[in-house]
Amino acid sequence: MPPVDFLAPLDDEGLEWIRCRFTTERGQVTIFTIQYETTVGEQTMPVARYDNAHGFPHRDLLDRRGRIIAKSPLAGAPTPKEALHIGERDIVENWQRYRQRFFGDQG
Amino acid sequence: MSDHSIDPERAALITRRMGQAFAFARDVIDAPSILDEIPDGSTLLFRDIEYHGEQVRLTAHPSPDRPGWWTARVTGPAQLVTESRRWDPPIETRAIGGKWSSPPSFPESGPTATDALDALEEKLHESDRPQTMARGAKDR
Repeated sequence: MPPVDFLAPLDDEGLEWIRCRFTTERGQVTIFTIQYETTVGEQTMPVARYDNAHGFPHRDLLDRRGRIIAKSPLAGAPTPKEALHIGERDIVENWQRYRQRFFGDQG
Repeated sequence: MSDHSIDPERAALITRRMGQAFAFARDVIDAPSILDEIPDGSTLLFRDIEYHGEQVRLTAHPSPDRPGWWTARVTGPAQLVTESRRWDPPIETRAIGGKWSSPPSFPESGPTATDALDALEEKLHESDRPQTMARGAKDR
């Protein structure tokens, strides 16, 4: 099945977003992506994402050019649901730090 | 403070909605049939409510069959999603003293996402009241 894509606004200004993407096979979700996006000019850009593409669950952190600056596999081969729990804890706790790094405001 | 700073109130909203989005994703993994109901490319708005002592997750998305309108449906927990898919909208059930005879988790629509979510939440809360009459009792 082709992937199904959803966007959820995180603020009322429409500047921060979560994108969810799911691919199913035989009625089960086989590939997921949950991506935190922010707005640069007129464009939304990914800041951080959790997905299990390429056969292993991992986190990507990205820069303003859309380049992956850090790829971190999740230890212990978690199931998709476990990976989402890990991703939620991490992104909910750290999104402001990832966003600062994205915009180059590390200080 | 940089140009990219976010005030605490907005940050709290973002954090809360992130949690809702992750909960939605977990619900989809538990009940992939949700993907059959929500059109690809939809914008989603979430609301969490208490129902029968349990947290129930509602999701609003643009209505696929009514341009400009929104549909709200139960997307979690998985058991309730499965139940809601089994039922046809019970058109006649509201005739029972204005009460619902079973958990009305089938979708509701409205001109805005908030309206659709309000309508669905109202239905669920009506059914949650202890004085809700059993349909069979009234019919006998």
